[in-house]
Amino acid sequence: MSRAGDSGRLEIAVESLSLPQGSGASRQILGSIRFALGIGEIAALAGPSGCGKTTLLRAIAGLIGLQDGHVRLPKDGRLGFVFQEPRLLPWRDVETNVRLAAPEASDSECAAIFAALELTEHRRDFPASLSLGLARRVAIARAFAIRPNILLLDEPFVSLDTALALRLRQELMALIEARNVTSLIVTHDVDEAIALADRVLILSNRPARLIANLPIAIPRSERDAARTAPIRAAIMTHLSTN
Amino acid sequence: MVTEARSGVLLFNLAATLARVAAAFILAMGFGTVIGVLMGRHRAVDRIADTWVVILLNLPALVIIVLAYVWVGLNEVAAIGAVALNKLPNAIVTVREGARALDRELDEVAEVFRMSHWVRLRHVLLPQLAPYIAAAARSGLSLVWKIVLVVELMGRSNGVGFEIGVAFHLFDIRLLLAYAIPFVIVMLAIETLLVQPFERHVARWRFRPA
Repeated sequence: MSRAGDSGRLEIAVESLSLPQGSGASRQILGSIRFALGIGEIAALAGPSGCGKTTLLRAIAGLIGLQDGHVRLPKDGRLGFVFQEPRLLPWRDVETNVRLAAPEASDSECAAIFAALELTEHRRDFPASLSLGLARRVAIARAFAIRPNILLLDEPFVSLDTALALRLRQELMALIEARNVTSLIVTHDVDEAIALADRVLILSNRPARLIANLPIAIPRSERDAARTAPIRAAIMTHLSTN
Repeated sequence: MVTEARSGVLLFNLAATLARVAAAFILAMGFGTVIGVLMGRHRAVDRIADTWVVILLNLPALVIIVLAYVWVGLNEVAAIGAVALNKLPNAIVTVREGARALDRELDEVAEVFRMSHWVRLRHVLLPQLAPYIAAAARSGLSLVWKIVLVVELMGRSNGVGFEIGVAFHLFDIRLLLAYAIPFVIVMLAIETLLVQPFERHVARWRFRPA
């Protein structure tokens, strides 16, 4: 599968993953999940809440070891992660938070990312003084500063108001497209999945198996309600038959 | 007091005592922090070392001092070692609490972004431990200087403790106060000029107005 210059290609092959529970017994969280994303492809990962989406993301990032299966990242893979909570260092200001994660990023790169996410005037602020929306932007800036070829985002727009979520979504898409980053975005919002993704991956209830892998062939700019109706119907069917 | 100060004896003895305080304090805080972090993060280490910490915590200071002088000899190593050993369990217990409260989520951030060990230590671990280290330092400093005087009284031929011993033998209250008062002043100065600013410095991000 590995070709020359395939940086950014992500292959996932999970057979099963179990995690220890409080009682000492272990419980299976993930079942069979296999998919591959091409360079610059954006996939939305959907499924019932608590089904194991976050666990899959953590397994891909290497935060939990897979018992059975593998994740194939490109050799020169740099992986950016946006956790569901911003997870900034509270004792460091915004710019330092970004720079500590990406010591090799140049001043101009950082400045460009801050500008793209409207963070320039907040560079000296401490996380405690930021709203959730701003803190999320910092977490996104941190992930982009390492010049990732793979980006994992865990519900990056959850609990933001609609207008704010929409603006952040546009800014995020602009960054992803400009840098051609292969992205996997966890969401439980069907509209969001349709608006963002080239491909929608749907997981079942626990243990999560991949039950649908639906490409969206319509260009992003032409996705109006009428044209996306069939794909929406397909997604809803898969989500409701869980 | 003035006589003692004029002759330079006061300053000499004060300096000798402060040097011992500093050495014992640094030793105890250094080892205490490392052992405390290890015990807080690794269950196995905690299980092995916990009994010893409890023993050390409850062993009378005097026993440790006498044992140190008997086993190591009436020298500076024994004196400083005995003081450090008295303070050590106190530092361990406080820092261990801090290590148990460490934020796993930030650990994961460091892991995902492949931060170097140095960056993790300086920017992730130490800022979280700083309030606990500050608390250990504050309670430790007062403990250390009290015990240093006992150590000096028993087995050293200089220092504030030794002079207080002399004053006791001569029933010379003026000599006693001549040493006790400047010592308290110096320790107060260290508290206000070093310990408190350090505490403010490590907590500065908490009080940042929005």
